[in-house]
Amino acid sequence: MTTHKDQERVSAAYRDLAKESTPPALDRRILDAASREGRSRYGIVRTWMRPVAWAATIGLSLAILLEITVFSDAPPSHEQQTAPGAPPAERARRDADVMRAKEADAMRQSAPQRASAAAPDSGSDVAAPAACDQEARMTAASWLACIEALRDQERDEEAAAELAALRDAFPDAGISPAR
Amino acid sequence: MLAYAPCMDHTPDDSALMLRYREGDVGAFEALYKRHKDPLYRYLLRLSGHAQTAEDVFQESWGKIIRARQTYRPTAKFTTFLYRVAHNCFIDHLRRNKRHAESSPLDPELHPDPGEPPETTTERTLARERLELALADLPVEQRDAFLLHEEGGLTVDQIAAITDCNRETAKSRLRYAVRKLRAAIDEPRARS
Repeated sequence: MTTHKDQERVSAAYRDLAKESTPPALDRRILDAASREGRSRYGIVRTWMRPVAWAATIGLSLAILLEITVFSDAPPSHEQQTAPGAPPAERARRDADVMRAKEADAMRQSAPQRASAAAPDSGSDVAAPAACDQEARMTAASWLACIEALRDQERDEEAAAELAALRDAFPDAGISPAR
Repeated sequence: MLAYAPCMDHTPDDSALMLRYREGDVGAFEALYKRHKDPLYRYLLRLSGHAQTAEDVFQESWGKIIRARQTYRPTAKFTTFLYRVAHNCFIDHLRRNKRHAESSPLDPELHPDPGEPPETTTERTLARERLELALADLPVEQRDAFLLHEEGGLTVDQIAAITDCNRETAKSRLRYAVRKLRAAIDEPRARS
């Protein structure tokens, strides 16, 4: 039977015996291998991961900042570009007219029978103006564009006639009498 | 008193060093290696009985530790992990080289020439020689258990886990080893 005292005696004797150390060449081989492995692949990836993540974050933030500040002044739309010389009040009125015309077009498309019925009737009431063709009269917006073109060509009487016909054909479009 | 005991109070601990090495800190590995290299080398030296075998298995064991750094998780004590790897490497080495499995020839550097005149050696030297020979004569399982206890500072439970046996078997192996070694140390007294 072994006791704790026996264990201590044997341990002390063993400690007196076992004093060997690793050969220096062996240490060097293992430490070189550890150094080589530790700095390869995964180590390099981990070394660069953080700076790359920071650079990506800063780049993205700058891009968002530029988008919000510098590039927020977008070029004017097509409608805003029309009649650049017109006074602001008149331009606003025309824009409103165009918007109403578009709304009327939308309503007409939702009820095509009503719209198609309205156009021939209006054509019979008005003395067949030849200034705007049938295609231009299909929608309030295109009709209004045609009227604008007539005005630009200083064909004011024809434009007025067309406008009257337009009001009759599209009473919902809300074309102002001042036009 | 265990050989390993003074190493256990170091800060940072082994697991922290291993995790730092995983992050690419080679200096952490050097600290870890210096802490464990000599006990592990002596464990393999006396377990195999061959300096060259000990060096081969030692290098293979540390190679596995280095490669395992990316998957290392500090779930168990690092010493247990280290000695388990070394133990398994030694078993693999035995399987590859049957000659060691059949016998454990003693290293002439470890064991002095028995032909040396007795009058030139002291009683202490003789006791050391007897212990060395008795250790080499132990069955490999008992020698393994004893060396894991002495060099690794491992408990019976940890020895059982490393050598894949139950606690009672590990305890029994350690007890038999100590009994035989004590008898070898006491041999001259018994004769007188």
